[in-house]
Amino acid sequence: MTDRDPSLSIMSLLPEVPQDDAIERAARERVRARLREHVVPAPTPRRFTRRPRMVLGGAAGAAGAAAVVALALTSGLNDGHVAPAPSSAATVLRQTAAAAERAPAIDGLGSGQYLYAKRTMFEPRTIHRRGETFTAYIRYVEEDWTARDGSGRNRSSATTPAFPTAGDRAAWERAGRPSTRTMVGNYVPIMASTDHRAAANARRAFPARTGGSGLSYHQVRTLPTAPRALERRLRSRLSSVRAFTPQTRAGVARVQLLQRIGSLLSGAPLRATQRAALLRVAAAQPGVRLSHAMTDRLGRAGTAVRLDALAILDPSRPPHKRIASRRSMTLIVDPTSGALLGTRVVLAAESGKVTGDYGAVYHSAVVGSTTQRR
Amino acid sequence: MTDAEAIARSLRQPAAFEHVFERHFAALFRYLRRRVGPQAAEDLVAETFARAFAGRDGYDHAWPDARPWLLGIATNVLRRHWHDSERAGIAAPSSGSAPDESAASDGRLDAAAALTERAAALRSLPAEQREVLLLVAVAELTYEETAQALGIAVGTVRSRLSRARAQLTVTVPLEEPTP
Repeated sequence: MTDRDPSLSIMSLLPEVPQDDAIERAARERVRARLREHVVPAPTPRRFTRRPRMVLGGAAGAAGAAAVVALALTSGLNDGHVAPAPSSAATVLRQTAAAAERAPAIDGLGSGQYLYAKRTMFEPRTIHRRGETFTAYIRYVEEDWTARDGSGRNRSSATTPAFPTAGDRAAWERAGRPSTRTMVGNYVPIMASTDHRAAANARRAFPARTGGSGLSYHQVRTLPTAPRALERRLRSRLSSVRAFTPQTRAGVARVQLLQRIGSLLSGAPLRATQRAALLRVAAAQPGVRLSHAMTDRLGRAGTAVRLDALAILDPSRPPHKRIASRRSMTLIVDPTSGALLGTRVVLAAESGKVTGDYGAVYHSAVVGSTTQRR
Repeated sequence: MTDAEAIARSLRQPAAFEHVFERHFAALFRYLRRRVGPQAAEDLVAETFARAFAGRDGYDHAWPDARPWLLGIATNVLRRHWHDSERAGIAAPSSGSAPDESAASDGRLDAAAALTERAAALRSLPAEQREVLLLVAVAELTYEETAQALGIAVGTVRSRLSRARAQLTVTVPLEEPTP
């Protein structure tokens, strides 16, 4: 495990900007002109008139929308889709693992077949625009078509927003139906739509998605299928914080492990046995518990398993002086098909006040071309 | 001529203030551009210099370099900007960035999730801790300069920074090491 300064990762939110580029030079000219106008003819300063700007919700919006994103990801909560209730989260995950061993995976593809995977992330935002306030789900969509020989296609797009209620949609329409790009601001590196295709490559599958960061394609392909060995391999790559107590470190590492498993299951080029092994590693984590029987946003019945962690830097401090954070990771799985249906992460203060809540739904199928979806 | 001298001269000859503008525009614009994107940054940097010009008679001439003073004004302008627009959070990454092709082929969804999580972590900080953190880490002010910018004691800068880093540590401990 390694320690990292968390403020370094935070800095990635504020990306480096080019120095003295055309944007900066043009801004300098305009601001200089405004300042001269200000300074020379009229020594008494006045406020500059600002251009109208888009208004977006921030922390309060995210917190306020926490309840509704749960609804979007788990609509139909406790509606009896899964019966009888499974006995434990570990049982559900082991059942899912057994089904995953028989489910379509990259190693079972025939000639001309592609493993199609679609991932849709939902991020709730409270938007204030033209006098209207509404919650919109900002959605990012990724699709992969991967053949056994490594050829394939990757498509990334920002879609029209989704809304938790009809009232939110109506408010969005009254606000002039702003586009996703307009509402989200300038998430350009994420929002840009792309469409790439690649020919066969034995060393690097296309789209070469390896479950986020850290693992190379080769490392993903060589992940062991024995659960203990797999867990050791995954844990060796987790970061940690030396200042945590051993109990906090263990709890956070388990949630971190579950997040990594969710990320790998959501589209990395894994063999069926590797997918099953990942689910067995999840099943073995202390503290993993059943959350709800539910259907996901696509109407598929599933079961949620959840792991929570409370990270406290110095437990000896009184509660009002503590530095702490809660994190909850949920996997929504289908024990019958072995599929991962969705994930959800909730971040909260020790008091329970939600500071972040986002999730994704997943869909995969075997298709016959890189234009086919099912 | 130091900034302090230019500011003193500008009380008699307003055009002398342009010396301060030319010396510090880039640093202020880049800081604001990273936080709010280029379009809003232009308005905010203009307002920062307007406020600085209006308040130049209160400048403490013991400080030859005006950058901390200007960044302190920029911090207030930013606060007002977010208050006006009912934003409690931070801006998303700048639209000045080029689309990242490497992200395109390796999990944009994960990148979006990571950004969402980091933004939530930064939002969860009290505003006074967030401003100290960003002035030190992004604007690269020293602790003493940050104290000057915000009108607080150096010890307060240290304690706010320490608490901010600790809070981020517990909120986003899940960063993956790069291979």
